[in-house]
Amino acid sequence: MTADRIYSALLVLYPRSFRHEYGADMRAAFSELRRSTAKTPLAFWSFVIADVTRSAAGAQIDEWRRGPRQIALRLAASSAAGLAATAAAAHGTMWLYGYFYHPYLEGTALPEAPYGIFLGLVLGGTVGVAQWLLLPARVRRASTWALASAVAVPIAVLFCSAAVDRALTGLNPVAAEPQRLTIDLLFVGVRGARTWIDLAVQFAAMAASALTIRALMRRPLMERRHAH
Amino acid sequence: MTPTRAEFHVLLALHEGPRHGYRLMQDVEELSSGRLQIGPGTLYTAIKRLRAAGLITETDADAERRRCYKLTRKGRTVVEEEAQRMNDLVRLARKRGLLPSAS
Repeated sequence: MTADRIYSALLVLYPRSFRHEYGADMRAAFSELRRSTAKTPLAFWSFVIADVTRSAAGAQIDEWRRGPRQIALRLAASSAAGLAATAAAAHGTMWLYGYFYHPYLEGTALPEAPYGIFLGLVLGGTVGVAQWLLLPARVRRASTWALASAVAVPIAVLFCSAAVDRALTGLNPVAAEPQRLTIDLLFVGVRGARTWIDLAVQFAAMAASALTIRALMRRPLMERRHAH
Repeated sequence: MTPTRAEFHVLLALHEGPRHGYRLMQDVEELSSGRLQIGPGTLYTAIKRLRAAGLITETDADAERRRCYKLTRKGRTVVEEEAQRMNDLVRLARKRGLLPSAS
C-alpha cells in the first residue's frame, strides 16, 4: 500500500461532508508534503498521524455542534408547531361546537372518525410545512424523515385517540373547560382510544398529509432563499 | 471570532495574497520560524472554519488547478485587529518586565 493510499484511508476519520469538500485537496497537499519533506519516515508519519488525529477530532466535534444539534432543535420546533396547531384545531372545533350548540344536539357527539382524521391532517400538514420551512433537503431523506415521524407519531396518538375518546363518550363542549380539555387531550388519549382501527385510520391521515406536503415541497424554503 | 494559533498564521499568510493549500502550509512554517508546522488536516479544518466565519474565500485556481484562497475584507480586519491585540499584550508584558525592552 502506498503512502497516498494510507493517507486516503485515514481520511475516513473525518466527517463525510468534510471529506467531500476537502478530501481531494488534502490528498494533494499530503503528496506534495511527502515529496518535499526532509524528515525521516518515522518522524514524518508521526507528524501526519498526530495531525490527522487532532484535526479529525476537531472536525467531528464541529460537525456535531453545528449539524445534528441544530437539526434536532429544528425537528423539535417542527413537532412543537404540529402540537400547537393540533391543540388549536381541537380547541377551535370544540368552540365552534359550543357556539352553534342547540338543545336538539343534547346527547350527541362529534363523529369520531372524521374528527380524528381532521386532527391527523392538521398535525401531519403542520409538521410537513414546518419541516419544509426549517429543515434542509438533505435531512428530509427517508431515514431522517422516519426519525421526525417518530417524534410526531406519539403526539398523533395522544391527540387523535383523545379526540375519539371525547367523541365516543358524548362530550358536551358547552360545559367543558378549555384547560381541562388540553390536559385530557394530552394525558387521556392513549387509554381513551377505542379501537386499533380508529388509531390506524388517524395515523394514515397524518402520514398521508405529511407525505403529500413533503412531495409538494421537495425543496426547502431556506435553500430557495440562499439560491437567490 | 478569535482565531486559533494555526488560523491566525493562515490569515497572516493570506495577508500577502492568495495562496493554495500546500503553499499555506509552507508559509505558516516560515512565518513562525519553524515553530509551527501544520499538516493538511489542521490546515483544511482551519480553512473550513475561516470560510464559515467569512474571513477567507475561495478565489481562482492556480495554473496547476489547485484551489486558492484569499482574505475577505472582514478577514483583513480581523487579522489586523488580532495583530494589534497581540502587540498591545507584548507592550504590556514589556512594561511589567516579563519581556526585555525593545530598545
